[in-house]
Amino acid sequence: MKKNLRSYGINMLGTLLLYAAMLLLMSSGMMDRYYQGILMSVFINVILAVSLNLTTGLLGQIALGHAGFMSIGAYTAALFTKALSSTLESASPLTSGAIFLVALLLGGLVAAFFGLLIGGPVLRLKGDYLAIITLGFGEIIRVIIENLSFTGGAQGLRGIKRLATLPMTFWIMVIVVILLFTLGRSRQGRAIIAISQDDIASEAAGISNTYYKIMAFTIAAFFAGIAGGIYAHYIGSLTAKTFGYAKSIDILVIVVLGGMGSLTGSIAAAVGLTILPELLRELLGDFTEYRMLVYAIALVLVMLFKPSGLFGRYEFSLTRLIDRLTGKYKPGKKITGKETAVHD
Amino acid sequence: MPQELIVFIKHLINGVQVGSIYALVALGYTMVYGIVKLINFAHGDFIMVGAYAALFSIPVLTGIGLPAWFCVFVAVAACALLGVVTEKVAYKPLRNSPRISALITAIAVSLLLQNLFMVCFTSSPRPFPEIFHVPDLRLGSIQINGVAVLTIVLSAVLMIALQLFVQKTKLGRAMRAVSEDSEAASLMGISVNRTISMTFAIGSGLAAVASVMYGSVYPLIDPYMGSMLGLKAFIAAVLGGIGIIPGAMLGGLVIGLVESLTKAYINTQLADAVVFGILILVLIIKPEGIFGKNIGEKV
Amino acid sequence: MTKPILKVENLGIRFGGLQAVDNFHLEIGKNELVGLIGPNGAGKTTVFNMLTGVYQPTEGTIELEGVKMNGKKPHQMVEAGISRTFQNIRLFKKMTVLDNVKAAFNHKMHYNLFESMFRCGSYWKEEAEVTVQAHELLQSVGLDEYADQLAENLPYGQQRKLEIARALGTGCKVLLLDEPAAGMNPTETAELMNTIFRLREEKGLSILLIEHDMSLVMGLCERLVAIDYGRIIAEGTPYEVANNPKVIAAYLGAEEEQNAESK
Repeated sequence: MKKNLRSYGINMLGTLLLYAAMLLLMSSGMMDRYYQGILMSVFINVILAVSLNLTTGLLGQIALGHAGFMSIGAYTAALFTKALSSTLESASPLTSGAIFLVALLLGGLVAAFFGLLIGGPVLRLKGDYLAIITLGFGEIIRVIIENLSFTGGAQGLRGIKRLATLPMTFWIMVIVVILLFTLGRSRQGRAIIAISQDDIASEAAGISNTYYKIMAFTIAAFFAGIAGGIYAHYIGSLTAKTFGYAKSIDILVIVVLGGMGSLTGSIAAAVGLTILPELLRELLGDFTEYRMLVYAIALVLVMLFKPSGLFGRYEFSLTRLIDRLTGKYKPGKKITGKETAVHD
Repeated sequence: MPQELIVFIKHLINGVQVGSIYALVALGYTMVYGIVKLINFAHGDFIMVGAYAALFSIPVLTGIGLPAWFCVFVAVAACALLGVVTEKVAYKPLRNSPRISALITAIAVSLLLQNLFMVCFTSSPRPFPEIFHVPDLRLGSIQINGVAVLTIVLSAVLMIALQLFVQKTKLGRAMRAVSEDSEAASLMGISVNRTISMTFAIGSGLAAVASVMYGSVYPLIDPYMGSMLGLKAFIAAVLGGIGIIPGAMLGGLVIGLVESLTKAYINTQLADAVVFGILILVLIIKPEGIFGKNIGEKV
Repeated sequence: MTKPILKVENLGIRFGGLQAVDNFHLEIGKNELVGLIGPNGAGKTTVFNMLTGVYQPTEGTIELEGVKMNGKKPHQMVEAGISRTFQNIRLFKKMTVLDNVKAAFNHKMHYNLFESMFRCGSYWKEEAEVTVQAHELLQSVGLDEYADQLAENLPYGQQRKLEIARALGTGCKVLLLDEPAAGMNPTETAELMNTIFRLREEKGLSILLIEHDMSLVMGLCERLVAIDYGRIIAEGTPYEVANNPKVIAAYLGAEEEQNAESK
């Protein structure tokens, strides 16, 4: 407990420093609108990646419909704030912030509801079939949104108030990361990881596979919905096409490259893969065309040479880094000289 | 004959035509899945590669005095080679890795092909020339497009040939043996690697034929044309029962018909959703597909 | 015998046209250690799979302390008090030894999703309790020093013990062990059997143990049930069963078949 408190303190401090640095860069004008936009994409992608990491990393299943949940959250939140647009016109920053948060929560909840609905039938399958069926659901969600009138159909939804600010999104991201971290290290997280390791043994250990699989899927959908809500209120307009198969793959690439099961890996990959194309654009000129090509090559190479992703299951820990630097770190006992065993 | 009926029959024929193309592609999925238990996500993109290979070879072929439809052979050769190389480079090293790695690699290869072609040939669609000059068929008051007849007949012939190949030849037997139990097959002196290469070559070759037929129906090709086509063909394979050759044919026809009739009588935009809806229903109700119980035909 | 804990009557299962197990019956009393023997392919593991809810029997009843258990899923069987190990070890390989055991406590833990995400008091309290209990279990099978290692890094014999510790973590009343000594050398086997014997005394467990090597169970079990081709061919004391001509024939037959195959 004491050790935990210290670790919490260190991480809190690290987060505050990051936040302060961001505010400083913003107020000093060193970070213009362009960079702020990149930062916003980073935050949104981090939320998407850590939420998909729950399904793909911890539960060990490839889901190709994450963008579908994102779009449900985006449309729900956007329709909510649009309905309240007259109130928002005259609202104080505090009220509009609160309305925004409620919109996000609502978007997350509706996305989670669909996750729950879809999760039942989908999670009876695994592996390739699960990948395909989630892809199918993702596409169906897209087509339905494109054909509904209240979502603006194929033209999309315009005039969404840009309520998402960088500081607010930063803290939402931090909270999402914390919640998913604590979830991963709880009895629920243990159950989910156990299922990914051996689903016959997990049942034999008293874990209800169906219950925890649906739980993981639903929570992932919830946070994807929140990310969608932020996206909607940052961009200001929505078209269903944005949330197709390609977007789901984008998120999957982040999780896989970062290391399935590693939260810090997902974060690092989300930051890296969002910033890298922009950096390369500055250095090499327009890079957009090559972006997906480079992703694809990187993905093949990682799968061939380090299939567990860059971080594997390893989690970066600030506390451990500090302990290492101050020489306090003591590695645990290792098994030495593996006994030869008879296998049949 | 009433006009509505004629229109309906036209839509049916159109469905069968597209369905036979799906069936050809579905065969590739089914054969590969049967033998390496992997959904080759890149299979749809092999079609795209085949279409480009055919397109670019036409001026060369006509230049040396050969008929344009010879481009089918170029496409088949290109796709067969691509299939074998993809398997050797990307899938084979992962044969003993967790399934999830192989699946991601397949997705990655698909992305790679799409974006490579996008970078090389831009994303703007290119027109595919008319290469088959087949007279239309007249049955009373119904006129049937010649290319449609050719597509349907050619697909049927190829499928029957494939079925005979798998059932009657030594190589076909080897393919069935490897799909049953690759370890036992290798103990019986079957070269597993060669058999898998062969399967990829045949499956990809069929995709190449499909690509040329597809180009004759929808004469615009672009780097992303394969992904939706591939998905629908995959759904066809699942519907029929993955790993089962006659299942792929039946599945292809069903998907083609459903799609054609939805487009004609309900809503063009909903066609994709309906096809995915079929997939979801099949996977929920009978994941082993229509012919799923029929283990004897597994490849 | 006092009132049985586990009572199985007329149990049978059919796979397509094949009657894999037929008319199987069994009663295990509290603190009893019963061996289920038979040659390879006799249907022992199939019986286990029915008792643990992996397969649903097509006929017969399974009762645990007088409650009918038919139709229950594997995790519900565990909740009711029947736990098992596997012939081919199934651990959560990438989880620590401690977490493997703690995973088995899951169904007895109460803190909810909200409490774990927000790290409420109940999370800390229950986690601490379960950690202590899991360490105790690991100690009792002699694995506590490896608590923080990944399960896959344990040597083979220790992995078997971890499986037993995990099964005990569920708080079971009846423990089903599927060839726990498979792949072990005689020294390891003797040590493991001692551990099993001791745990039974400590925890008041009822144990059903599958083994195809008869010499192994002779000294350990009070009672043996022998099956072949899915049917009971003999039951009684180890001595009686070992000398039953049907059992001898079944084992000899199996040996002959094996000899014939190897030629």
